Amino acid sequence: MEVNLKINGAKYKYAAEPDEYLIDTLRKLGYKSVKKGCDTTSCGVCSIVVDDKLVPSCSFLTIRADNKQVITVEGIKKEARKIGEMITGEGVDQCGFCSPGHVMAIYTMMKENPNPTMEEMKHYLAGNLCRCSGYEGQHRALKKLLEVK
Amino acid sequence: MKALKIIKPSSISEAYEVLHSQKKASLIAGGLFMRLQKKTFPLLIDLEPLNLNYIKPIKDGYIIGAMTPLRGLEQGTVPNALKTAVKQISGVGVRNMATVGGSICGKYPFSDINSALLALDAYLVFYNKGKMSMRDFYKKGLDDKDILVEIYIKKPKDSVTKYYKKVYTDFSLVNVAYADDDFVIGARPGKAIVVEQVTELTPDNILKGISFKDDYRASGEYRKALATALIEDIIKERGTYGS
Repeated sequence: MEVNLKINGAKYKYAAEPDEYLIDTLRKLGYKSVKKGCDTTSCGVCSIVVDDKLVPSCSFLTIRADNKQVITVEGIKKEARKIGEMITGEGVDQCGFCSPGHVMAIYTMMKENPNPTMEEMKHYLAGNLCRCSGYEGQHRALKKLLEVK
Repeated sequence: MKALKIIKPSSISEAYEVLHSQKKASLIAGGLFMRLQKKTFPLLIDLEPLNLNYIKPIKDGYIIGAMTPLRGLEQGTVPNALKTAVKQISGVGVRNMATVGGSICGKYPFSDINSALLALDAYLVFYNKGKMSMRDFYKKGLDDKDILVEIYIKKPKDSVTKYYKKVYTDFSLVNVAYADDDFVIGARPGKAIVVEQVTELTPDNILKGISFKDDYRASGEYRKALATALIEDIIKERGTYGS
């Protein structure tokens, strides 16, 4: 099925397989920030934004992205850098594999709720797993980031 | 999951026609659990283009479109039992995709949302069959393939869903939904059981005859203890949850 994809502002005409998921399409098109983690919709590593909504790209059918706005880390470089610097500043990053998904989740959270409480923040980010850390550092970084704003 | 063909229907009647045109045609809602199945689908009918994502408050309740995502329920105006049920179902990303209709039609026994809908005595509206109570559907199912269009829920006076999870976003080891003195015990791990209007509200009376089983997550005994504690809390707190 031919679909019109809009990825980070760039337009593509793309012939998608009926069971093709965005994670594979995006990586094929060169958006390598999108990583496959658990591949069972549990870890949040592959999170991207489609029409302002955070979704796991491993489960989002490419044909459903037809004429929708897709955003990956490559499309929000400025915001991603700011979030990334805050997180590394707290010494959290070890393997960094969860970072792209985490950054996308923080990005949508800040759009939906610019002044979250600690509890709201933990609730929003609960679907993004990090197996290196205990989340304390991320929470510290986020507290700083949102106070900075 | 593998799919050989997927179509985007322009109306519910077209989707229904295609569904019956081939024995192995299947509907796809959020598509999350479907994706994890080791199955090849010769023909999938995408329900996304049918505009079934809505919550309409009406005089005595709510009408919810079958394709409303769980995140929509979390943020929308719906009974407290539904709001509390969806809150810890995986992360925000998954809740943006998983739909209420998909949860109902999958009849997942571990589902928190199905327990809530059973407690709320929700009615399902199918395209061909018309109205059917969720409690009947959960017990008997349908005799023919059909499309769930919307869900009708009467506004309760007081409702809540409680559960115990090992991790914030995990499946519940057990869940208890409550609406106006009806209780539902789910994730036992078997199918949810409805307990209607018990005269003397005690955990023992409510759990009379309900069995809990062992699986790799927890023992039946542990599940029963959890269910007892959750019910005790509800009996103490009932009247304070609100609609």
